[in-house]
Amino acid sequence: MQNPTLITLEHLKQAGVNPETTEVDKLLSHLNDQLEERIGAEITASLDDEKLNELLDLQEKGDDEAIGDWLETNVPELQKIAEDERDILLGDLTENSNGINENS
Amino acid sequence: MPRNEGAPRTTDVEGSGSANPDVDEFTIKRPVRLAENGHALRVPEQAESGPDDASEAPDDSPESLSPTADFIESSAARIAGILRSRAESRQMREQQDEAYASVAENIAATRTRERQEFRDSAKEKARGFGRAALSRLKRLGAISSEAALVAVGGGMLAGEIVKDTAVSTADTVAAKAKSGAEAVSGYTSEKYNQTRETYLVKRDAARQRRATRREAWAAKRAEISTTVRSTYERNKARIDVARGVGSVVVSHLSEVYGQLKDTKNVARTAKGELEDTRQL
Repeated sequence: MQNPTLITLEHLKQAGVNPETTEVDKLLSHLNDQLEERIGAEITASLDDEKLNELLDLQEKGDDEAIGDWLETNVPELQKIAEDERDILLGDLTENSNGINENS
Repeated sequence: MPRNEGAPRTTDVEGSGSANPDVDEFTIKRPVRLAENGHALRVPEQAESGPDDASEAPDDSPESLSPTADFIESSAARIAGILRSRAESRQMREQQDEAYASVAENIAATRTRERQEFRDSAKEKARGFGRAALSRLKRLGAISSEAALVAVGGGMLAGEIVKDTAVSTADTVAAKAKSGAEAVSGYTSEKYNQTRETYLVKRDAARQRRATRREAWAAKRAEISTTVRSTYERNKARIDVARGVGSVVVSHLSEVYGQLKDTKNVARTAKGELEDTRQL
């Protein structure tokens, strides 16, 4: 599955990270990994054990299309979860951008 | 909080003792911690190198984890539990011919050996859920990677301000020599502050929604757990009653059978007596 990058250089700039002095690629990669992990944790929390088992089964089969369908059907708040996790991460980044610039 | 003592503002923000107890410092912790060492963005490398990183901290040091990291850990723990249980079942099936003690010993060894592996695997699986979710949402156009456009009155976006200032700072060496706070203040403007403020406001609203969702999920899981338990107890009670009834019925049938047997014997005796009478 191709990595669906959601946080971009533009976000970093808007958050106040100075792209001239920061290792932007590493930071972006780290942030996008974090975003995936946080969304995954929220999805896990939203499921009971039975549903979680179903999702793990699908994942083991490696059928991305089926996983997407399943998530759409079984996680009704999927879009909200993803948007909120993105906003939380960007807010944290904004709040800490001074420190990142300072120490680059 | 001795680790962060005397550290810059951002370090205070990310620490567990910050003014906002719900600060999502997990991601930011790495850059800032490294920032204290003067290597702000070596974060991903540190993450790979392991034990020093908060997200990879062993289970026995929960105090080093942020609320967000704790949450991710607990989600990963649920997945790891399922993975472990599956692996154990598989191992049990594969070793049916061996003595149970040997299997149990193997399971214990597996637990120790593969504990970290399960944890890592569970986290990777959780990340896979997130990746799949983002792929699907992007394909549906339900979420975008466009940076938020803040109403800045036709001027430059904050990002551009940042970039321009960095470039236009004629003497790069001098710019780097500035403290971070000074450098940032150099390109702080009303517009930049608006963008910043927007991100912070959106984050706070998102946190509130997330907290509400988590509460609802926890309540739902607790309800399911209670329902399952009460269903089990109800069924168990029914089975106990059925067993009791069954026992009474069996006992009654035994009695009836005994009576029938007696009756049959009586009949047989009577028949014999009748035969005897006839012969006489």
